[in-house]
Amino acid sequence: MNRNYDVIVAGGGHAGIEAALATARLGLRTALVTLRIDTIGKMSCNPAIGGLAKGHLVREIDALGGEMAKLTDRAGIHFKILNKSKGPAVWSPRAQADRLQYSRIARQVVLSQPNLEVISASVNGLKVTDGKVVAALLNRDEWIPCRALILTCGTFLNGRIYIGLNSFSSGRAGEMPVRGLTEALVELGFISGRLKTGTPPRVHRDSLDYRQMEEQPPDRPPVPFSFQTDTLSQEQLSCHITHTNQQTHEFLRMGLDRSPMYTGLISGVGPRYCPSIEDKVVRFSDKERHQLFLEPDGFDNPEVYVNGFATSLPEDIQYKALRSVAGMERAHIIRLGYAVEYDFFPSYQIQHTLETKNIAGLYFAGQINGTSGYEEAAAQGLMAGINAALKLQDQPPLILDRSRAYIGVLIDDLISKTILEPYRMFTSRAEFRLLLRHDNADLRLMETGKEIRLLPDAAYRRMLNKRQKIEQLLEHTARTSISPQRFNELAKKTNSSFITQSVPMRQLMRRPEISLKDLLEAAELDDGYSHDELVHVEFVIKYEGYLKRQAELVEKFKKMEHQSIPAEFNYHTVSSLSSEAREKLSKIRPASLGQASRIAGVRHGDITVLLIYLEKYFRSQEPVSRETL
Amino acid sequence: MFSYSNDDTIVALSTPPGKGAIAIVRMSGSRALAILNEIFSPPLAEDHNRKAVTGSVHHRDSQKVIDECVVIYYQSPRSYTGEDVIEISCHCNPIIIDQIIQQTVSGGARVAQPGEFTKRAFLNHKMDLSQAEAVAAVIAAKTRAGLACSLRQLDGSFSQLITEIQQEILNLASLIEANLDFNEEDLQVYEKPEILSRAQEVVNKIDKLLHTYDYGRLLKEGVKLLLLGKPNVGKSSLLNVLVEKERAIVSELPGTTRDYIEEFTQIEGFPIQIVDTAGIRETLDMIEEMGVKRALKHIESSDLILAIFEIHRPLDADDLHLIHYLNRYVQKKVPFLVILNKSDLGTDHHTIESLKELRSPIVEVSARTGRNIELLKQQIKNSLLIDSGLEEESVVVTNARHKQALDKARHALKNFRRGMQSGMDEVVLASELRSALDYLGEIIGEVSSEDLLNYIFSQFCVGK
Ligand SMILES: Nc1nc2c(ncn2[C@@H]2O[C@H](COP(=O)(O)OP(=O)(O)OP(=O)(O)O)[C@@H](O)[C@H]2O)c(=O)[nH]1
Ligand SMILES: [Mg+2]
Repeated sequence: MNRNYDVIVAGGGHAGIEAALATARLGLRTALVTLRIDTIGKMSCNPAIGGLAKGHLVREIDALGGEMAKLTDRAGIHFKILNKSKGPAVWSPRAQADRLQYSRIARQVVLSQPNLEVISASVNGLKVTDGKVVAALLNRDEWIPCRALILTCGTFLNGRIYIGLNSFSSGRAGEMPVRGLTEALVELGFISGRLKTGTPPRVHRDSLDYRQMEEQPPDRPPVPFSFQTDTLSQEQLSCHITHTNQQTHEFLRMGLDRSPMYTGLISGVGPRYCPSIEDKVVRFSDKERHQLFLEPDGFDNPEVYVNGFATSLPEDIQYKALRSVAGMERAHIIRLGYAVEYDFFPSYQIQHTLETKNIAGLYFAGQINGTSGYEEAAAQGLMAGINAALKLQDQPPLILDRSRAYIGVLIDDLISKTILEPYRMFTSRAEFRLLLRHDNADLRLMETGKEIRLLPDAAYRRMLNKRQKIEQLLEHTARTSISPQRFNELAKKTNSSFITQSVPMRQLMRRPEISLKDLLEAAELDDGYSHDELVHVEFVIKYEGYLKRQAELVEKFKKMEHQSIPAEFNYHTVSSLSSEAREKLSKIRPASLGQASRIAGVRHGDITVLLIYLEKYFRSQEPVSRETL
Repeated sequence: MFSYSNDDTIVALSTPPGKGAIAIVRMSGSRALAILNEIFSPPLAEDHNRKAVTGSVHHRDSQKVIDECVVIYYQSPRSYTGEDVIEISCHCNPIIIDQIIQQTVSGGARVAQPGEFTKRAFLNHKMDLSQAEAVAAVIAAKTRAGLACSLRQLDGSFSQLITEIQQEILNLASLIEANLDFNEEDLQVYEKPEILSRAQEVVNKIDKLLHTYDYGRLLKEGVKLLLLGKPNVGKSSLLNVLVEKERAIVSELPGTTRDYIEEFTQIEGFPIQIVDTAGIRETLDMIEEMGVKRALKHIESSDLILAIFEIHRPLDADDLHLIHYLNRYVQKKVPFLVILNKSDLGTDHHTIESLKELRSPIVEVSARTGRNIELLKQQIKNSLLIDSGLEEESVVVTNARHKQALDKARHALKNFRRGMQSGMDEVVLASELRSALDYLGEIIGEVSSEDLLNYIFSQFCVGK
């Protein structure tokens, strides 16, 4: 084999798949290095993709030409739009996938991708010449040259698993960790940290009594994740809900003296939004019960994931506590819950392209940057892959700003904030939440997906068609009036006030109780518009004022983002900055004044001072003064 | 999100407060001329560039005149900041200055951040490159001083109150956000009526604070106290005892004071500007009439009036004339005290009884012997406090920028309540609360989305 690659991707998880597929599809010879080929695309946590805010990420990945949504559509066994009772901006798709199928399909896609080779090995080191990555060390004995190296190692870096007071080195249940890579990076000057995350036990489906639980059926018909999927044909399964009780909590408390967390064995910080069940019981002791969400693993695999019951308590406690739950009295645990501790690299060390600041050609994506979740990982993998490819092809980088995509929010947050716990996306992190809906990810990003040549033409044309129909419908509602005869029937049904003469549809749409769909029906106007198109048009009309206000804020935001700060800018020469600001700015080295303003500890006055110094800096760089203003 | 933008029009007093006879209020930005023309007559046009124009500044709505001013328009780029600049030279009276600034604000101007004019001047190439560091240092110092000042304000009770308000809004926001971001779990959903009433409480708190603005301004910038009374009643004598020096000429001849006399002093901690006027009477000679007109002009801009009568004899036609004035021009507009002077000369009970009908506190004093002057001072202070609806230890707002931030926060909270009542999307409701938090953040430091999440995690058991 001619081992000469443009790009090496280390890790075959959700970040690695996207990264490798992106670089290969963009024409670069790519190697995906993973410990075991059969674990490519493995869902190591729960068998679900999407969910609040994460669903947005998946749709954005899809709009840029990534793979995650398509994989989910093919392996999905339960699709549901969450938050349906709230406003459209926070509707979020979520799907359960058949774990084995997902991984198999992902493997097929990867293995059949031209330009992409899969190597079963681990990356344990890297060679850097003149500040640039030139080769990766495989299995501690072979140097493979490359022009870019993307590290997506998940929880494998010096991974250590804890169950009760027992602990052992492992990347993930039953798999070896990766050693040496952290050390190699630290030697190159990187700062590493330690994080923790946990998983619940998996139980055998035949040992559960679903009759004692509440069934949660999927949406019918299921709505696909990918803008490129038309229909979903796979049979759909239900999830189930049950609850812990006082007895469960009693058992859990009895195990606290053997908890690796409570005895101080684990030093890494776990996510507060995903606490272990023992944490919930201790911290919210007045809560009488906690919800457990039972997720089927798929058709062939009998495992059921007990979501909400993450624990690192010893085996006997896991059994006792779990079996005190309604419907789980005879639960058989296939795999125990565990906590895993792993190395990460605080992400102020990377740029918005996900390339590290210190070493050219080296990219970090996924949990190595301190995130949690498949979707966050995949989004980073995709962006790292795209940017590695763009750079090797001498193209300008692709950086999505916070007003364009959750992906932009994700990466900007990682770089500007101090990560103290695994980072997960929430809709509240996006200040332009109204603009970033899941259903308009195509309208927001497909133009870009096409530009970078990652998005198939057919998908792009579909978006153009959708856009055209939206414009058509908008114009239609503005132009067309509806008569009292046609409207008042609807008014009666919806408790709306009657009209006495024809009124433009646009105007009636402003009434909260009147939906576009009903109105079109009442007007007997030829339907033919898709759900997404209707949602979009309805949103644009009903939220007109708010959208305008957000758009103004986006303008202001963009001005600040465009005030770029040169990488070599020396904050120590700026004596008027507060010392906290000077320290934070020197560490994070923001790319723009906008990013600087988002750093905790950088105050309003500091930004003004910075503005003045930047002006000075730029003016002194200019040979001719701009006196002509 | 802070606004660092240079597109808006900013306004501020550009001369040191309380010094000199003339104050200059400066506006800079593309809308400066338009904002001015809504409150100034005659209107200015482009060709007034760099010409001093005399005219009057008036209220936008009522058209009531605030002051006679001289305005100069400096057209961009030939101005201090390089933008369109308007300079309004007005009388150096804190109340006038404040009213002018408030009028430009309601016309769309924003109260400038410390050092902001200088910043704009620099960014618009109005300053030499070598001045950059000096400019930055000045701005840093000003911002820090401003911050320190607002933090120090009244022993930190001000910032504490704002922090409390901010916390309560954060609290509300976390309920809404938790419902948006974590509702797949069985969180307890909030009760609408409870949220509404809590939001209303916050609005009330802000209202109360905003209400102190006038009072805060009084404390910071001074109170205008006007002496009214018929000739020879002892106005000038009273001025002299209150300021504790022989400032005004006192004589037994009625009509001694022909024009008004101003004097500054402190009474019970309030900086006070006392204005002594020509006596008001029914029949006037020409010169006196001029003085009386000015006296009436002062009425509207004063914070408290002392209406002075003689206690030892019956009310005469001039007194009745003053009572008529009080009823017509003063009642319900400006608070006043009824002062019965010359108590050393005896008491006419009939006079006292008639004056009770004015329904204002009555103080019997003698300017000659100094009797009850301390009591009068107490009474002056009480009136100022009562008028502001405040207790003595209340937290007060004194800074125009803070007032503006509170106004906007209040507005956002109002929108939030209205939206919630009409069943508006929570995403929109959440953004109203966010902007309320941002505005308060301009006073005491920002609340980030991270703070919000921290709060949610500490309050709710989220996460599967
Ligand atoms: N006995 C007595 N005489 C007083 C008192 N206050 C003022 N006077 C006298 O009343 C006369 C008028 O006093 P001014 O203070 O000049 O009165 P004014 O109100 O300023 O008069 P105009 O300026 O003429 O309007 C003077 O002779 C004062 O000495 C007082 O409390 N008792
Ligand atoms: Mg006098």
